[in-house]
Amino acid sequence: MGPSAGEAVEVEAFFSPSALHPRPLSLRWRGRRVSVEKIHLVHEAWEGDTRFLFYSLTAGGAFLELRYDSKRARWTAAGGSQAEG
Amino acid sequence: MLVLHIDMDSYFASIEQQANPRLRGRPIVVSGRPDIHSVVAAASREAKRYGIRAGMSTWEAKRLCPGVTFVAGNPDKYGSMARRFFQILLRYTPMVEVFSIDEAFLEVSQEIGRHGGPLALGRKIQEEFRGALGEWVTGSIGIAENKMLAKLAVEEAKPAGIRWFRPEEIPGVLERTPLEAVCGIGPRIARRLSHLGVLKLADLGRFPERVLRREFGVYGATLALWGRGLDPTPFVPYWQVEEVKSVGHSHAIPKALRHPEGARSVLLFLCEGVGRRLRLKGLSARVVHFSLRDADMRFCGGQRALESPTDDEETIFRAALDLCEAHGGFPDETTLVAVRATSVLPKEETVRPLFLAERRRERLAEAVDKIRDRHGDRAIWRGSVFASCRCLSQATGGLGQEKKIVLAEKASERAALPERQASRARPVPAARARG
Repeated sequence: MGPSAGEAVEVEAFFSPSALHPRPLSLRWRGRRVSVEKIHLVHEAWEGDTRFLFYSLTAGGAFLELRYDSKRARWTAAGGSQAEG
Repeated sequence: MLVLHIDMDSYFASIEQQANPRLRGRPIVVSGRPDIHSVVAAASREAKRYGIRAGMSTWEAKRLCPGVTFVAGNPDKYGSMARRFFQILLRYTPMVEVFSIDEAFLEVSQEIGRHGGPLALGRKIQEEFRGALGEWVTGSIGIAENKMLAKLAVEEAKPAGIRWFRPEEIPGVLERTPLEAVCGIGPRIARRLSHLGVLKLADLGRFPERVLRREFGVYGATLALWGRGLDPTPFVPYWQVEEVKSVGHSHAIPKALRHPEGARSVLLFLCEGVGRRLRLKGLSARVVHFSLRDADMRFCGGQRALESPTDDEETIFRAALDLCEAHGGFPDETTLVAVRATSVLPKEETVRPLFLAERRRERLAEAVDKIRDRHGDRAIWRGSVFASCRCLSQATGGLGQEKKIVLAEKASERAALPERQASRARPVPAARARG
């Protein structure tokens, strides 16, 4: 069972100055830790002057969407997770 | 001249399949909200096999393929990916003409030598797309001497292929291409031409130009050139700023808001959008156009010149409302409203408001714009618009906004933006809305 939409998620991410966006490596919520297996797509959206990054990824065998608020450096689940397959 | 036409394959649907592996290999349709009547914005390759096409109603799509999956459109996602692919194209040449959110022309006469020929260049671009956009998002490439032929070539390249019309192939292409295949010849023109015995492009080339001119005016000369495989349309690179001629919005109204009061709120919502865009571009408009569509799909509307040019949404709204009243007011059921401000000129060329109430409204609009610049367009609402149009923005959160997607503000628009906003604008061209 993945995080529900809007739930805060702790993310271990790699920030590279040469990359377009940070790369999540692993996620932790409710004491559970899973590795990110594949990032399928990253897109950005602006709300006023705040840039949000949306990640569609597979972690722990499930597909989920994460939202990164670049102003507050906060990660939340953007959509409920779905088991893959 | 050598032109490459890049056309992304089933663009919105491919992006959704790229984002979500569960959608891959399945017939999917990107539309507005799946639970209300809507139209197909894009169909995946799998859905196209069932005959589903863009523009079709969602119930028709469901009838053709009961197992189809509907996905709500996400303009941010498509705009974000479009910026990425336009950036790839700009690495090859600054001569990029943006045709729509998923189509572009490249003028590569100078560049092909460096890349080992047009086919090698096309393959490099496709390879870069795969790396930057994902394995599921592909683009087809048409290559020819001009834009018209390159656009025809791309149709033979789909999906994910490359087609080069070499000069010696052009007569054959003209002989086999039906008129409707040319971008710029609509069904009505094609029908009129068929009455003259013109069915293929080559027929058009053989037809006397003076007759075409007599029948179609200046457009007849363009038709004659197309018939000979020539294209008089100029190549307009993205950095050549086009003059803004009008600013407008339209909206199909969801069932719950089709009553007169609801339609009025939607009109105010649209006028707010027009006013904000005029202010962002530093423009004022002299003329307001209004139109509505009733339950029988009949359109009515009109236009009115204002006493003085304005960027004030309330003035635009009042003018639109007067036009509506002049046509008998909103019918019991309004299915679409549209408002457009034309005869635009730079705001600095207009007279400042004289009356206190007008100046107050101007200051209020400036304050609201600042809040929206900082916190987003949905941070502050008029009470009446919020009460009814919240559901409106959700209902069409995807596709109503598709036409508004601007990949980056044009130079003139950027100059009018506060510095903070301008600095975040990406160095890529503005996309022309399709359809």
